[in-house]
Amino acid sequence: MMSKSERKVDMFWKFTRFEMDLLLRNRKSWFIAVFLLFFFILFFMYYSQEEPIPLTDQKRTETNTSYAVFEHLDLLRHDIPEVAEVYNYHTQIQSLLGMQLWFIGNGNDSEQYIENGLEINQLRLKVHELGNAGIPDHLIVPKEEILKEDALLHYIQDHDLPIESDSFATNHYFTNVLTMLSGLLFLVIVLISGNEMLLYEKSHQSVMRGFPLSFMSKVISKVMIQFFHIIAFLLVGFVIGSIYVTKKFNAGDFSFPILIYQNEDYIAVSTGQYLLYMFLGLALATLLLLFLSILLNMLFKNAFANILIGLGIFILPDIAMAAGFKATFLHPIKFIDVNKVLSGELATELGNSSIDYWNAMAYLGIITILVFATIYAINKFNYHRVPKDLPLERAF
Amino acid sequence: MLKSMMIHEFKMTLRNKKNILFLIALVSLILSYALIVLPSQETPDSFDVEEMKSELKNLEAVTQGMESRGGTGFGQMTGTPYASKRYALKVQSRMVNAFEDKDFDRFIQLRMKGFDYDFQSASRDWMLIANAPYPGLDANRDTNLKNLRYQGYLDANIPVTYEMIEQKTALQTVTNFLLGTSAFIVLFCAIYFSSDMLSKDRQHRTLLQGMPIGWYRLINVKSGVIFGYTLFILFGLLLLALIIISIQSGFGSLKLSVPITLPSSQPDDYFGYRFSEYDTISIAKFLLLALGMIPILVYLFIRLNAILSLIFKNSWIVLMVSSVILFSERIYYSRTLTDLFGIEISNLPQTYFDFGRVISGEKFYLVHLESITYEKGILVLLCTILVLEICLFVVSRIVSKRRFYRKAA
Amino acid sequence: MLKLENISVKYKDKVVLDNLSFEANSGEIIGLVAPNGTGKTTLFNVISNFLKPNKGRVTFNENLQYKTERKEISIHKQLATFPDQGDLFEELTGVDHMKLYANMWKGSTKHVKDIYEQLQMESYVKKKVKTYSLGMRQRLCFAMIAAADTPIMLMDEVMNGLDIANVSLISKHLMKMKQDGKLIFVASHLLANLDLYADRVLYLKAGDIVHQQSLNESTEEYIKLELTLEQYEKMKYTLPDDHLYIAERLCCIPIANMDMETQKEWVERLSDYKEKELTIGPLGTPEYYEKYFHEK
Repeated sequence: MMSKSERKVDMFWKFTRFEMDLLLRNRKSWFIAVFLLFFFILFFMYYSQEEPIPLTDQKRTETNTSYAVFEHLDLLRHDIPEVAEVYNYHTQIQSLLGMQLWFIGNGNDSEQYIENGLEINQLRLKVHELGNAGIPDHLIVPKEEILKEDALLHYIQDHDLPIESDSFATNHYFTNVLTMLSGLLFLVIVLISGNEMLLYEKSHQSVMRGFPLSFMSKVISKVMIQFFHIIAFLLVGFVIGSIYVTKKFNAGDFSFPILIYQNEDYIAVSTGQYLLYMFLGLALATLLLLFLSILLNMLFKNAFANILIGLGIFILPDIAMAAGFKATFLHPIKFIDVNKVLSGELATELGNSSIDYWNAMAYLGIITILVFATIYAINKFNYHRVPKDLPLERAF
Repeated sequence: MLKSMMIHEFKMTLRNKKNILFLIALVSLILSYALIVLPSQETPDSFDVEEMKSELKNLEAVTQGMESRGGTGFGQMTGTPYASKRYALKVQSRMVNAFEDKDFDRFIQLRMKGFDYDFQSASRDWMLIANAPYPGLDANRDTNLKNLRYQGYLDANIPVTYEMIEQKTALQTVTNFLLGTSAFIVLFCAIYFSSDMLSKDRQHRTLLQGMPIGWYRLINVKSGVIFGYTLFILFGLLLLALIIISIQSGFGSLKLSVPITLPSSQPDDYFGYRFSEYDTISIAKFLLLALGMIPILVYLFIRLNAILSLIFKNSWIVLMVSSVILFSERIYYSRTLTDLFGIEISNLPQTYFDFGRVISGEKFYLVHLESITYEKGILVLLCTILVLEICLFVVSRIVSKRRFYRKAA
Repeated sequence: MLKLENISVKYKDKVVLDNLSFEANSGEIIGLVAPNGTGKTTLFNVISNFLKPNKGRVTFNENLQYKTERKEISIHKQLATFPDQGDLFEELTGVDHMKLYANMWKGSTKHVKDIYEQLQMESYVKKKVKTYSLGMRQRLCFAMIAAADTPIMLMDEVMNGLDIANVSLISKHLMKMKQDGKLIFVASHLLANLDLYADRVLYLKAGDIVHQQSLNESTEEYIKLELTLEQYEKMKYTLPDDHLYIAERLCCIPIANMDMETQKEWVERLSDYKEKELTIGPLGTPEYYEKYFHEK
């Protein structure tokens, strides 16, 4: 004979197996699985038609762009003191850029290249301090870019990596595909996949509702299955895609740097670490969205409402921003876009420099717990409610 | 019989909870845009008096400095900086005055002078930084279109308001909505409303399976009803948006101009490149042209969904597949790509889903393919509908009513 | 084992259950009889707590009540309800369904095979439910609850859509379950069939139990004769005061207080109505049903 708690666990797994059986017979979940499996490889195939621009060409363009600044500075230089100072720094930048071009090419000295690069960044930051006086907006190198470049060069210097390699290109593909996926697209996928988790029971009510299993264990079982379904296919799809990319570019080194935003600064981490961060973040976001789906199912009892309200919540901060409210308390909603958090884009977009990865993860974790607690509380409340005018019907 | 079937379907569509939810979402989107976002939004045409005043001060100081140095002449590298500074100073201070006097006709004229002035330096920078095949041409087109639009304000012979210049009036907002990617929402409505038109009946199998009406005919009735419903809803939403925005920013005028890009009218190549030409049409004409294309596209997607419903029998999959088709152009789009698997993209229907850009000529301009025109678009879409009709007829024979309902879930 | 006290369920202007109370013990099959829409399903929903009544208490085994979710679960461990046909999963097989119920309540699936063999479902039970006919589905629903094998079972409309052979098959199975000491509630419209296995039949009217008939105890016997209203009106005043005239059709005269002579006399008197059938025996469920629910 099994003990009471053993039976409970046993029953939980049997219920889970049944739910999984249903998931595997559901056309919608197969469609999502196929989508996730092919998303990465198709994206890489399409994207790899475009050759990545060689570093020399990038530098050449940068030098030219930088040169254009003189045209604007020339017109103003002698009369405003800040402009004169900017002009001074800018000539130094320009000459360093020229040196960099030489060191990639005939000079062939990557150490010097990096040294010069770091120096350029310092000068550019000084120009920023002066308010970029005299430089038109479209020619200003944004501060984020400078900090990123700085972090990147330091990483290359510390890890003794070559300044140009195909592994940079692979990294480029990884960040691009994750930028595409994370955020709105991922939100829609998870919302669609989770939108009938509780609701389908309604159409099988008389079969399902008498199970001697607590509501919360049902919820946990459902969320667990959906979670593994999404994450498993996401990972498998990604692995297939990255095998394709690394084969194609012959570059499978996962120690090359990718920049992430942390502690109001940019740091470079290895590709492997970046991917770990990214998928951990996506996993947490998935968990949150699935619990949110359960909650929305409980409240609105409609699969379409799940998606529309989910999307509505997601664009709330954008509406608030566009309307000119700062609304910091809405910002955590956007944290489910893990890629934007990691790249620091979100911090810039929302004008909130404290948004970095660990911060966002902590918030997402707290929100998940809050949503879970709300589900728990609503369920508890339903048991303690005393019917007044109408008898109370159990929905799930 | 047919009539009562249609009435039944229309009632069901009206009461469909999923549709009502989407309507609520759309209405709240419109309301939040019109009431919250739009009033505080800064458009590229907004004018900041304070900023311009501080710039005037700077200009003043710079020209003063030049005068005291005696550096007012012509330089080999710099051209005539003093003269151009003085000119800018004059134009801009008049602009500030005109704006403060609310003399917008004059304001527009002065602003257009400013465009010419900016263009010289801007075009060179653009060449360096834009990630486009022909950045110079883009800059040129941009300036031309902007000028044409501003000229349009003067030519329309109506009292110009600041909201018009900012493009915030009701008609301009709607026009801009249709001109951009946002116009996909119109088509998505059709996809959304028609995604469950067949599959929802599978839950009422015993009720509906036996109806004495042909299967193909039933699909047609349903498509017709959804078509009517979608247009009705779209019209209602348009009206709502027009009214709400009108109250705040004015209605605008149908005579205002929408700049368009036209293929070169020159018979031969010009320096080996066919330059585009620019013109304007009135908002009235633009809306009429859009009105010609929207029903065709809506119908196309409804019929497509009918086929998909028969094949997949699940409204979610229909919704997703159809949305992917709607955005399918994005998968391969590039400004240098003019044919896909050997077929010129002007012959592909998805090129014309972006109907606003087709009308304004932006579509053909971006890929520089002169065969993408409004007329051809209508033709290609009608051909697509013909193909879809044949497919639907065949599929409805293969997936008969009995087969469709058999696996009722 | 199960006690209902003062259960009331009312929607705004409609009273479905009105201060209803009763007790039931294990090893009992209780028939529940009422016309459509008079609260049978509501009563079942109250017993299983799918519906929380406005007033009243449901108690299991003296002390278990629906107060918290934990208690609900321990009650549900002993109680299974009859699934609706429409709620079955079309994509799953019959065995899948039975295993689900067996796993959820019994914790093992060893007995599933025996059940579907006993119910003669071998030929189709491994096919997907979407291929089933109405009768097959109904048998599956019964097989599922049998697989759950709980001490208390609530069976709503259990004989729906079954042919005579299957009705007797399931009736037999019910009797076997009774011997195993289950408490079974059966709501059914096959009234004569209820007489076969039910120990008690409850008649529900206006939200309360209007009659409780025990079938296994010796009950009052009647002389029963079909009479038209006209014929009845003629002889009405000659009949004993405690006679019944059910549904303007059946005249019943109690014989409990009669000696043999009087009984004979009555039989002779009534046998004048030659074309009518005359029987002697207790009132069955169909007669009581007509007695309480027949309205003009």
